[in-house]
Amino acid sequence: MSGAAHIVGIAETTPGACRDDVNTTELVWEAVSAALEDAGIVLADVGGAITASQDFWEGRTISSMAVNEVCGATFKSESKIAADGALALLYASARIETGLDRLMLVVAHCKESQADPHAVELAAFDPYVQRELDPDETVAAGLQARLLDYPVELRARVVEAARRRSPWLDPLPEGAVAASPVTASPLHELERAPLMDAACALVLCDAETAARLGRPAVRVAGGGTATGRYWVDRDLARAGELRDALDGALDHAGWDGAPGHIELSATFAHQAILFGRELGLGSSAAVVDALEQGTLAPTGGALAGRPGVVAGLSAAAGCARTLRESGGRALAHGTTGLLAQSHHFVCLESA
Amino acid sequence: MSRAVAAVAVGQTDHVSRRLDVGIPEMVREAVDRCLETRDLSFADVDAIVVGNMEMFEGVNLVEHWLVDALGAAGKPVWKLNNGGTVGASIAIAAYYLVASGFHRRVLCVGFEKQSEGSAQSSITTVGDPVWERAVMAGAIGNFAAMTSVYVNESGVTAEQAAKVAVKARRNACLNPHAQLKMPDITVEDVLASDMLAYPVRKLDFCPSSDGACAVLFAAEDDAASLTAQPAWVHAAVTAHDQQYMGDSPKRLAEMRSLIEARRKGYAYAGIEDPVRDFDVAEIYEPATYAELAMYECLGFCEKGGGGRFIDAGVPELDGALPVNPSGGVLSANPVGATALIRVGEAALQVMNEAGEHQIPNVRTALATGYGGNAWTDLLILRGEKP
Repeated sequence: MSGAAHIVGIAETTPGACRDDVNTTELVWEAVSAALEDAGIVLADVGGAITASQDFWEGRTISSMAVNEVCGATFKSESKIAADGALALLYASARIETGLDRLMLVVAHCKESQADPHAVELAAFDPYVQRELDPDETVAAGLQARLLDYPVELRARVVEAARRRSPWLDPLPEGAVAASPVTASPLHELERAPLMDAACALVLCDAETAARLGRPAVRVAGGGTATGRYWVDRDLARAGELRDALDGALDHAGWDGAPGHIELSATFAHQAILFGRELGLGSSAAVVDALEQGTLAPTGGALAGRPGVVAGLSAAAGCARTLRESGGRALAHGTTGLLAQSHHFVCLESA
Repeated sequence: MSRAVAAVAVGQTDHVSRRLDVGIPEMVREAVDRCLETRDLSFADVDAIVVGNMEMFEGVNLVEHWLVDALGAAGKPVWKLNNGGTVGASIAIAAYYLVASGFHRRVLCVGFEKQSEGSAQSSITTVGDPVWERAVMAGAIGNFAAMTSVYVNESGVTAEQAAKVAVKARRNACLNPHAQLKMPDITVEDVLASDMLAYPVRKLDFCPSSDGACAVLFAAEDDAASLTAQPAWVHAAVTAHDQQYMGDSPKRLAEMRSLIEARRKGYAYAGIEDPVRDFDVAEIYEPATYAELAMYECLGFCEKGGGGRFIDAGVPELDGALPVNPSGGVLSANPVGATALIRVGEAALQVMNEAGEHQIPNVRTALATGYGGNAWTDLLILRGEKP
């Protein structure tokens, strides 16, 4: 990848457990209008949009119907990636790379408060043989956590670290995680990322446009994504697809290795440890140390209160903000699917 | 910067109203196998997969993950798009960009729908805004009937002219082994005598509900020629949206603003000046007969209001100056998530001279469109010559 795509506008809504003050269109406009302002442009300047949302979470077939106007796509292009927003960012970057698109919005949004989480997650299970068991992702995650067998004390430290970094969730007192109700043994309720309503928007453009806008820019140097086998067909104690996605991203960006700044995203505490280990950060305790010190997932990721579809794009936003100020390189991570069947990495560097 | 991209292989299931012999993964695998087998390829020869369908139709969330083995996607990049009726063309456009940008070298596009395993009508109802539209937007047929009434009033097209589109489609379908509605003896009178669904749209004016899948392989310029002697090179890949509320685009079919905009951009990219002269064949996404007449106008095949006269003159027939939907079109098979990709695949087959009995002679330039959501358009132009 040549690194033609530049992030020149960054904005996120303040996530809330129930943003009933806005509908989906208004929620997205909140992020889009702030991103446009950050980039110093207006909606009419946008040439097209790539959005990320999930029909099941939105309760709407073609969920992007609610947002394409406020993404500037009227009589222009909009395509919806039905996955984490990090993948939408990679698709938009590919389009900018071709030179056929010059200025795009990338938007991820979800109002988890409006959905029945159990029904949405149940619908992701094999309809022929598994749904009769009435599972959801927490049940599957419980099986995974049992296989991994990380002590609850370690898992609790992951959650506490994320909550300390969350601008919108209260810190957790020591012992709160283990004291929260067991949802699927050995998991406790607080080990899962909370349901949230949020949107994130980035303005992406080519180098010439970035120079013209004169805003601090961050380049998308490359990216990678990989999908593993269905949850019952893979070893849940591993996350080989994370490694595949990472290797692909580094190769795509032409980087020799991963930078020190990695915005990791995980829905469950034990997954953050697993993913950190797959990244090669050492023992479980070493990964938790990195999470506590903020060298890994410095914004706290999904566990700090970001909806699944938004978390990866929010990770990229967090990286881009830091790179604007301090320069260097960073990796943004997102996941999609039951027990993170897909992993996505975006390689970012200061322009 | 952009590198040339071509469609190099196409595979389809034989589309029917109910595939009781296969589940969704098996049906998808059938299309994938048929596509790869045409070039003696296997899963290992594919770098990435772009997949699309209407998830709520079958009620399977994150369906691409469940289908990962059928797609040959384990360990690979999987891109999932979900854009309504356009999705098949949207995934083709995504594949184009992913290859053109250098992100991937070979991308397999897979679109599918098994409508017999779900409820399309109830899912389509949720397309509308939940507060303002859903209570009165009862799925596709009523929506089309309202649009058609406006179009008939504006253009003066007749039911007989619309019926000719149905006759053309179902007769063309007899030459296509993958088509669902093959009616060799259908007449205009049959169409006019078919049940009224919602005035003025009759049963034979409308597309069927189908089970089916389609797979199209796209490859980069340095690779395509090694896979087939005649790649179908992409010269334009354009998307345009209309506004989301029906009330914001009141003329709809009579003035398909997204199609007109996509045409403007796409024709400019590909240097199309006179579409009837410059295209050798068109595969357009016509969910209903009246829509095809309106699309003739909005695509510039004829003057505004001239759609009826265009088919009266026989221009879009198999032996006409611009054959439209020689495959039988959407009116002859409509597995929604695959439908627009079938248009792209059929256009590619025509350019590759592999369309079989419905092959149009000497096709050099082909048009494919997708239609969905609130009158959104995808438009691709394929040619035998590399751009």
